[in-house]
Amino acid sequence: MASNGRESVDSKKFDENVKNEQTTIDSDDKEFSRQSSRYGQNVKNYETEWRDLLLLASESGLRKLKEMAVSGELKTSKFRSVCWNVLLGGLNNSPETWIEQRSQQRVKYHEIRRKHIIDTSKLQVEERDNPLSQSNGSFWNQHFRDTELRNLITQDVVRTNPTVEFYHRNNIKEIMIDILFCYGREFPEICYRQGMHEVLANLIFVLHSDHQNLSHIQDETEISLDRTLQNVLNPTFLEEDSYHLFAIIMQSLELFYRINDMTINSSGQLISLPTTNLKKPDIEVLHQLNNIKDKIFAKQDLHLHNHLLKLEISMGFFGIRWLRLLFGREFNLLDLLILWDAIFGVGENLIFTHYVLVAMLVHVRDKLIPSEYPECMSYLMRYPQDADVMLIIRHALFMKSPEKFPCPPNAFVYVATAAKKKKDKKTEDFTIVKLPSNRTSVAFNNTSNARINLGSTLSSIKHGEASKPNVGVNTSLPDDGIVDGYTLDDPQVLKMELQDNYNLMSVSRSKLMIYLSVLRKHIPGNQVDELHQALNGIEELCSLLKPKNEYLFSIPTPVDPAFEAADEDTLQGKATPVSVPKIGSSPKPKSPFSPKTKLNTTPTRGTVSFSVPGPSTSSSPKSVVTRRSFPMSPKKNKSDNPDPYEVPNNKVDKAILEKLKGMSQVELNVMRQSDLGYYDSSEYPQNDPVGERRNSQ
Amino acid sequence: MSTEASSNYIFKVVLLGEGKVGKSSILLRFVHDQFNKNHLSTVQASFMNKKINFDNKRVNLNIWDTAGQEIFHALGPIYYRNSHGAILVYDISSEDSFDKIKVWIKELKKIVGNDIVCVIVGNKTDLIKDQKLSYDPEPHLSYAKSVGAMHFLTSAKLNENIDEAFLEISKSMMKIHDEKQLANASLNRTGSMRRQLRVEESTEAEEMTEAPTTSRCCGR
Repeated sequence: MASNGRESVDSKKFDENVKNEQTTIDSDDKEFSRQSSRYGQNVKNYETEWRDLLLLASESGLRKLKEMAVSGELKTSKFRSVCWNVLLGGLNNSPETWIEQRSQQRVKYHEIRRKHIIDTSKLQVEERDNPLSQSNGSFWNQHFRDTELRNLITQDVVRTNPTVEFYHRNNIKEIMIDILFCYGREFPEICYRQGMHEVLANLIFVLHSDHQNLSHIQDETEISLDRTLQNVLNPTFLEEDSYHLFAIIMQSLELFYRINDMTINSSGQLISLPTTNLKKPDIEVLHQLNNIKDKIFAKQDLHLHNHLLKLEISMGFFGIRWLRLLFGREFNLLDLLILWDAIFGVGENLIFTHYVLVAMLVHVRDKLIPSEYPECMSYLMRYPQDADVMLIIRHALFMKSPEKFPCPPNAFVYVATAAKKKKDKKTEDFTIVKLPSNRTSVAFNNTSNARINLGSTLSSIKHGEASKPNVGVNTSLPDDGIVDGYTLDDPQVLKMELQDNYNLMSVSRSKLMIYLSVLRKHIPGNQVDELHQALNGIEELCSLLKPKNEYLFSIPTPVDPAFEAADEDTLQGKATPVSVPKIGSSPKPKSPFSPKTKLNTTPTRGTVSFSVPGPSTSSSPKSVVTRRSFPMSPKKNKSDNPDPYEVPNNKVDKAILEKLKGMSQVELNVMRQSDLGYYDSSEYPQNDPVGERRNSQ
Repeated sequence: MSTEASSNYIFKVVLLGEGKVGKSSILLRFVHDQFNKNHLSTVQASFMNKKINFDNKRVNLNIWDTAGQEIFHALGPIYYRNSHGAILVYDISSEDSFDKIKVWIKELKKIVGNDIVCVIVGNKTDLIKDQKLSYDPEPHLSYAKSVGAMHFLTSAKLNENIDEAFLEISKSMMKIHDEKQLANASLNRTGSMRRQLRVEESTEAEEMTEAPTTSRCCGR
């Protein structure tokens, strides 16, 4: 475990305490490690880690332990099971009492075991019961039902992780069956349900690994290790300690297994209560999933939420399994354990699972959004194994408490633009897409459709700018009235949302213009009227995309950090709309098509590639930059309709400018692309596009 | 009008049956032509999609493989709602697993209705050879007949009869689908005729007749 400077000071203090209280190991041990070889070093590291853990387990250290758990720092811990116990309350905050606690837990398990696992050979003599008796109190009847339940459990246990040898050792299988059986009998209203066996399997694995680590260290050294350590990780109590940890996790997890108006008979079969309506059993986990859907998912990514809604993919299809197994089938074991660290680290009755579920959905949104039902279902039922678990955790943390955790700066989804094949990964084929921040989704639900249609190119633009200002805004906000870190009516946020929205509209308009020009080019003038009507319709739509309240757009478009001082001056100095019409009518460029040179001047984050043929103003890239307002109206070059959406630059609010600075790059590229589109369309006047095109060539 | 361009038919099929009778293996064999001796137990359900060509028509099967244990009663409806077909699997070495099928058939007919195509599949015929299992299919065949279900004896391990079972269920589903379409078409006609006469009623009729055809045939 990593420890910073302050901690090591603490740990020295703690060492002294340990010396006073437990005079067993310290001095001898240190001597030994100094003398011995690299093996000694291992031992020493191991012991240091243990002492750190003892500190972290204390009341004051718990916060740090939680931080480590959610940030993936327990990945290499050799005491993961102990950490989990501490995080979940299985061991309390005073390590000096752990030995006692452990022994109590173990005794308790033995009692449970004795109560439920009855050795028939011994009891036969005492019981005068008839094995054929059907009465409920009959011992034999109970015995037969026990056998049935055990068979049910065994059926699953023997099929646990077929590829891992560990789970197919007979002793491990027996331990698992006994634990699950005891749990089923101890909590008859939950009993045993499919899925529990995999949760338990992972717990046993972690405990076993910790035991292994301890025994390796013990092999390397002759001196005895800390008594508490030896006791807590005593391999002989694998079954007892596993049961304890399992039962603690089930306290929260059982909610996902619960079926309210059903009961389970003692053989493990579900039977409905007499009053139950057969068609609609009240499945608790479905309520939970609905809650997650409405309260988290819809807020975080309304677009995806609606997409799944449209396809009638209910959360139950995949969510029940995700939750019941604690995502056990969705990640490989190492990733899964990191995820569990975080889930247990957050605690609060495993509430973090709700956010992880949503983060996982958002993480594959690029695959889901363009897919139909079968593909979506396949992705959700077989979650991509290469998903970045840390990214999902960080994103989920941000969703849960945006005031504490920043939106992960790399919360991008890699969108395979070229190949749909999962294995066919070529980095250059990927577009980086920023995940939409929640407020964007909520505020722009009416634009979701536009986003679908414009595809990933647009979303990369749109999302790329979404979240950066958030951090700056939310820190200074008061506590009440905050939804996910923002006051909903914060004017700055509103302004930025407006700006967001406006940009989206502009981009949509510019892309529409591009399509329009392409269409016009290919449709000869003497074509059917209907086609031209359609084209005019598109043009009309473009004009609808103009924002109405122009005065609101006094927010400047951000300044490109790559600007030269002189350029910026020109930009700031000109209070009047920048002269788009002039440029529109500027001399035609010599080279017919060179968008590449333009793109090179400012590296794009998303590879926004437009395959629009046509000339561009390659003669002077800088001039493109200065003309970046919102020059998308095709009629503008007729100058009878001055664009009202030019940003009056003299109204620049410097504070906002500062905040928007960071995100300028993506946006500027957007504007350039739109410029490109604009010039295209201006070069092909609507009435005779083909002729114009020929002229230009 | 209702189907996707790529497929003439889209059907939802659900695999049901007791635990460990081989539902997942059957599906794995059918979709990927693989067999895995050590299969994970299915928790909740899994989903697979397979497109088959039959009689120059493309059939897109969305197949739900359910967990044997608790799917009954509790979670079943989630998966078999709107199904066009159900494949009920039992293990020929376990009479208990066949009894479960009888319960399933009742449940399906009650909740989904009579339009669902049921196919009963006795799996693990390889056991007859390997473990010298004696198996008399007669009572099962007659039961299947009595409830109007087809019956197949399969072995996912040896790839026996798996494709046939899926092909037959597809055929039946297509037949039912075509019949429905035909019925809908005639309904539509009467609906539109009525529309000319009385406006209020016609909207209602339109809703009724349009709903099934526009729902992309698997009820999504």
